[in-house]
Parts: sequence; structure tokens; C-alpha cells
Amino acid sequence: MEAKGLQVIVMLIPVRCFTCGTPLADKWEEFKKRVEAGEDPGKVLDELGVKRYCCRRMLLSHVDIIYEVIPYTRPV
Amino acid sequence: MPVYLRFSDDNRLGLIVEGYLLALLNAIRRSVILYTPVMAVDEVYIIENNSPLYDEMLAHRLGMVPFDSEEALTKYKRPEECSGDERDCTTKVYLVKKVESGESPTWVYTKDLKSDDPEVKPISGDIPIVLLAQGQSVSLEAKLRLGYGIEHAKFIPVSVAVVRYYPKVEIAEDCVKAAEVCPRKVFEVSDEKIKVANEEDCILCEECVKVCGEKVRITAVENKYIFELESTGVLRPKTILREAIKSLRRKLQEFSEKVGVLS
Repeated sequence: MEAKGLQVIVMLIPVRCFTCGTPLADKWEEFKKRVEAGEDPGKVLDELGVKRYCCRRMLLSHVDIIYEVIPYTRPV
Repeated sequence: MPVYLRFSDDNRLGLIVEGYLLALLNAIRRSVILYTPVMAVDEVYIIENNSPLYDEMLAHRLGMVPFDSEEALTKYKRPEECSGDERDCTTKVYLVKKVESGESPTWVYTKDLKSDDPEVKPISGDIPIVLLAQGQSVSLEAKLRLGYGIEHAKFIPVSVAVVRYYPKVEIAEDCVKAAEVCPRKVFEVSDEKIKVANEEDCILCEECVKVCGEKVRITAVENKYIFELESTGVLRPKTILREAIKSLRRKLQEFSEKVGVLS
């Protein structure tokens, strides 16, 4: 997933849903892997048990900007 | 005043409650959100951090990580009994991770946290905390304590806590359209006729009344409510309810003692 256009500045997946507080971060990697493999995002979310639309948008709209940032962070 | 179980599993609890005042149920509901003790990271001592995240962001992410509090409730003191670093108030977790130069960027997960108390651990080991590039390292110490939701959202044990009216759905005349518009799939169609299939799922939105008018009647049953909880995983739903009621009771006790002192 490449970062393009306007995005919410969240570098890496938030630990919880902003609205209801359900922990979601542990589902991100599986979600990303399966969607990139061509599965329907809605179906993947259903199977991961992400039910409410507040939680669904967290995963659906997320872009890992941290991968773009990391080349410019302090090399030690 | 009966209480029936509607559903119950690891994370969810649904009750049908009859004969209790709505105000009382709402007090319990709010107590569930605001006065149930939950374990969470509260102070972070950063020894070394040259990750892409600022210290504050790292601390915030650690704070949001849900920790299993089931055993901690009996082991640790409640926030009102603690004023500092007394015994049985806090426990610590440690995180030390270094990515050598030449290695590819590596994620740090909650499973990399080393816990002082093996019973207080993150509910999932797969929560990513930060991504480290080559040569970067993180070393920190985090202090956990019990806290109440009124203080910070990280101490809230539930993602859903709802009291709603118990619905009554009546069909006076056939109207198949109702099944199409109903967002909660309350109706079932068989042989071109509708019947009520999941009455308890009705949220009294009256979408069906908009298209069918007098043909369907949606009402709330008096003095009967549905109480639903969904835990974030830190505590079992029944524990949440029990602890919330305990907290509420303690507040009432305190209030009644104060009233007793008045002349």
C-alpha cells in the first residue's frame, strides 16, 4: 500500500479504534496481507470480527506512512 | 424482578432485565464505563529511544495497549487506596529492542514486552508498537496500575455498554416491504408473507413504519430493557458488571455514611 494524496497523519496503525476503543492493531497485518492478496476487504473485516463501521474505517482507511518516513529517521 | 441471559461469550454479554428502573440501569451502565478498575501503562521511563516515534507517542501507544486485568483486580490496590509507590499498587513491564546495522526494518510487538508479573500481560502479542530501522533501538520501562475510566479512556474496559428498550413488533396486515427496509433483519419473509423472526434485535428505528404505516406497530415494552456489554478483552463481561456494581455500591455506602453524620 503506497501513500498517495491526502491522508490522516497516523504513521502506524492505531492500537484502538478512535471511536469505541476496541483493540484493532493486532488485526492489521492479517488484514493487509489478505487484501493485498486480492480478497474483498469487507469480507476480510467480517471474518476478523470487525463489526462496527467505526472500527472498519480504522483498518480500511489506514496507510502505513512509517515505511516512507523510516529512511529519513536518525541512523545511529 | 427477573434478569434473563440473552447471549454470553468471551467478550459479550446481553441481559434482558425486567422491573428495574431505567435510571438504575443507566447508573450501572455508566459505572461500567467510568468506575471499573482496569490495568494499564501509566508511566513510561524511556532510557533510549531513537525510533521514528517521539517518546510521547511511544508512551501513548503503550498506554493504549490493553492488559489482562482479571487477576490484577485481586492482586493490586485500587487507585483510591494508592497515593504513590506503595506495595501492591504498581507493576512494571520492560522493553528492550535493538536492530543492528545491516538488518532490515523490524517491528516491535507487544510480545517483546517483558512483564514483572506474568499474570499482567497484553491481551494480544501481535500489537505493533513501533518500527525500527537499522541501527535504531528502544529501551524503556513502563509502570502499570489500576485506574478508572473516568480518568483516561485507556482504563475503560468496554467498547459497548448499552441499555435499550425491549421492543414489541406487531404485524396487523401483511407488508413485505418492511423486511426489505429493516436494518436489523427483524422480519422474515416466507410465502410472500412476513413474520417476526428476531424481535429482540429491533432498535425501534421505525423504518418499517415509514413504508408500511399502520400495517406494522412498533412499541417499547414498559419496564423491560436490554442491557448489552462488549468487553475490550481486559476483563470478562461478568467481571466488569460485578466490579461496576461493587464500585457503585461503595459510592452509595460512602454517601449514606456522610448523610448519617449530618444532624
